[in-house]
Amino acid sequence: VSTLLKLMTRIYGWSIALYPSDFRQAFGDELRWVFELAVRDKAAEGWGRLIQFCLREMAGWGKAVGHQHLEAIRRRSRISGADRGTAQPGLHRQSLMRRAAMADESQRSSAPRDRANSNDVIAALPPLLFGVGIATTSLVRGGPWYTVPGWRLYLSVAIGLVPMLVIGIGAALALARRFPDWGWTWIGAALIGAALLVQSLVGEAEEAGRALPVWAETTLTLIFFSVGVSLLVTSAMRGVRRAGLFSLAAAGTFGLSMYLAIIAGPFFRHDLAPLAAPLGLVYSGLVYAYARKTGMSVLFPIVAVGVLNLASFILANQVWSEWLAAQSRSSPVVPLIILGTALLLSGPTLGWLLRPLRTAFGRPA
Amino acid sequence: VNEELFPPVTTEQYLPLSEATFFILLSLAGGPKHGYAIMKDVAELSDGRVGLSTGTLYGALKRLLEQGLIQRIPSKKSAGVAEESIRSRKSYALSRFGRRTLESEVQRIEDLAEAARLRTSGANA
Repeated sequence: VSTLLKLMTRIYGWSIALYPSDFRQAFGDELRWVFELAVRDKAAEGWGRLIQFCLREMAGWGKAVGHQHLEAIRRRSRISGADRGTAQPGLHRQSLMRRAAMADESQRSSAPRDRANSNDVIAALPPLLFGVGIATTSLVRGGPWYTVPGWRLYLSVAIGLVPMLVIGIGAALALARRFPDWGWTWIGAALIGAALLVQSLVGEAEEAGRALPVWAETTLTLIFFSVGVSLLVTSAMRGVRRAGLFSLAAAGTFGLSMYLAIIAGPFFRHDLAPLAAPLGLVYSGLVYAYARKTGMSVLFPIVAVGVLNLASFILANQVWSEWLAAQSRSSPVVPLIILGTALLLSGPTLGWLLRPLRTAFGRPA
Repeated sequence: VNEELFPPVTTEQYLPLSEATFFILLSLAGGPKHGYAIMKDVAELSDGRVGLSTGTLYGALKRLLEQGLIQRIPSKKSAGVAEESIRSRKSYALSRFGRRTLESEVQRIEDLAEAARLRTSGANA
């Protein structure tokens, strides 16, 4: 029994590692000590009590770990809000001690400029990740799917999915942290990535003779449209800069997705698709420049992304043209340009239009 | 304290207390206690109804410390007791503000009970 209790205490000790670091440092030793005392007492009361205690501890542990992480995220976002002078009115409801602790923590942050710079670098990453994902997929596959060995096909899909997964996790983190500045690009890129993924899955299903019913397609379109508009309005209510970051990343991802479209059958242009990696780097550089610039100079990255997108749409159209002519279909280049431009300009425009509303709500311009 | 920066906190803003918080504060009303003693006392005070896990207990203690309702008292060094053990054996005590909050909550519960008693006895009459 004594060995079992020691083992349980040790496992409990390990489980403390999953609490946020500040909680662990403040209460880790106490938690372990209290658990050790409690488990010894319950063991003395009998197996039934010991099992009941363990079940309660397990449930309480899961709840407490989740709760403390959420608290830590909320505290960090409040501190970053206070640092940027955008603290919410709810801050006044905080207790004296908590606000004093927050003030201490704010003062301890020795290099706010460095932090802002690294936040801008993080904000710029999604297009680069997306471009690298497309280029790697194409390079690993190297040719039409029916000519390459199965392992190479699966490996190319798996490698291509990793950056998409990272973008998805980044976006989920940004949502959980209640929209930090760096998060808007991740959310924008993830939204377009998810829409493209769903669209290609629907296309695959249709080719396999399992087309979705019209109502399901309409529902999916409505869901993506509503989510996109809600996020756009949310970003615009938080300022032109944030709305611009959301738009730039969404438009950049959309432009880069052309390189994914040209490796699909029957085109298989694996010679052109690796261009997505250097282009992704350029898009990321432009997002970074947008995040750093102020005033009218923000127009340069917006125009540059527009030009790059235009070049990508024209390139894709060139690849598709022969096949489109054979199928007697019209070129999609104009709708693509309209959609890409709408994605690019909607954020900054809406951000600018909602300026009076933000002022009325006491939000930063 | 700069009143504009730190507006005064009133006991009412923390009311009503959750059952677990109420029993933790009630447990500390008798004097300082360490974590395990609070756990046992809460179970006893609530007649076994409120069973706190260690994680839930320390989550609540952290919040109460931040709200200024309780204080943490480090154990004094004594011969033969290891440094690590002293670090673990911290006690918690009710602050003056915490005591006032507990008293306000008791008053609130009494007022509720009184209102209910008046209405139900009126209905019976």
